[in-house]
Amino acid sequence: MSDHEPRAPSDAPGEAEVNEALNALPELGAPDRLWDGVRRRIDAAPAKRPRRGFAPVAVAASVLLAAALGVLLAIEPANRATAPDITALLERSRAVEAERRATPVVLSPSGVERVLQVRIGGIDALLNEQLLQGTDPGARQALLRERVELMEDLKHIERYRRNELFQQAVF
Amino acid sequence: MSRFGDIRLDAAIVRRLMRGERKAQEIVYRAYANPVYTMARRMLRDPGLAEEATQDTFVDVLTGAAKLERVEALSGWIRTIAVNQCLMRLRSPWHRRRDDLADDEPTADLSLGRAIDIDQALGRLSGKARMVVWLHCIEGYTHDEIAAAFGRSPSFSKSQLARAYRVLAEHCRPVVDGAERGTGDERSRAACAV
Repeated sequence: MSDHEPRAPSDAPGEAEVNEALNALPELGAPDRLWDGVRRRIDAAPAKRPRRGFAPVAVAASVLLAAALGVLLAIEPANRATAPDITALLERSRAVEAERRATPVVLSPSGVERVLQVRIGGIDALLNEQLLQGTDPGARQALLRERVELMEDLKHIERYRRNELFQQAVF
Repeated sequence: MSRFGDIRLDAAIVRRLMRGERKAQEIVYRAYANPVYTMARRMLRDPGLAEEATQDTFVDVLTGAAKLERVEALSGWIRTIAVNQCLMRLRSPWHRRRDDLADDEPTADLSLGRAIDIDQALGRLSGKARMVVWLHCIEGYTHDEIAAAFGRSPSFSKSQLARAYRVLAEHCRPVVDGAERGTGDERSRAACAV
């Protein structure tokens, strides 16, 4: 947005007079009862946590996951067969997260988004656990694939809600 | 009249607001309530709708403050939310239908040459025209910014503004002694004293 100072008069006939009259309009006092209503509603609203708190956790989990996968792929010859798939999934996961980070946050997460975030967090925990225990790479791949799909869903929902918000400002 | 950009709050207050502290929420509400309500009341022309828009604006602001990226962006952010709340109501089918009854052109009783309250004259404009005039003259929006808010081209903003100016300027007459004033429920109204 620009400086948002009141307009300087232009050459349009009557513009200066209209501007002056509009700017001379008195400010109206908001009724006192409004604050009580606002307070009641924010007390009733569920606590909203900033999503930006989620992003670093997700990034950190991805980095840990990538590092651990890299180590396992290096030391387990049996895992090499699935390496291209896992690498592709990791790349896709990183790309989706980068897309989400690059998009401005304009809304707090909805219920569905929270559920998706929790599920993604749960998968991250499972993946980390499996990596530490050195279990089946096929299961890890399935979890990783599910994680990418959930991230895609989350991204689409966020994009949809953001577009919907912007369209509300359009006649 | 205080505008959003004129309000200065201590950065510490805004940071406390972002942490969700109740006292800071109230301070921010008290600082911005009148500008938000004034804009809503002038644009929507209906006290009930204006109260609703004001309340919704602050619920969004206070519950979403943690997402604020920069402390200094608070004023612009609150204004954007307030403008969107007004626009949402102006485009509601109920409001549009009521608006259709109003016309951008002067009505017979407005062309008598007597001093007319600028606020009354504003009320004779369509909701869109009122919003364009307010955003441009009071909040200092450019035509490009207004166009973006309405999802239209800058020429839409220019043409709405030019028509509105013609209507408003016609009714901006020097106040004559004993002119009918102050009959509304607002505390006061400014006449076109130029």
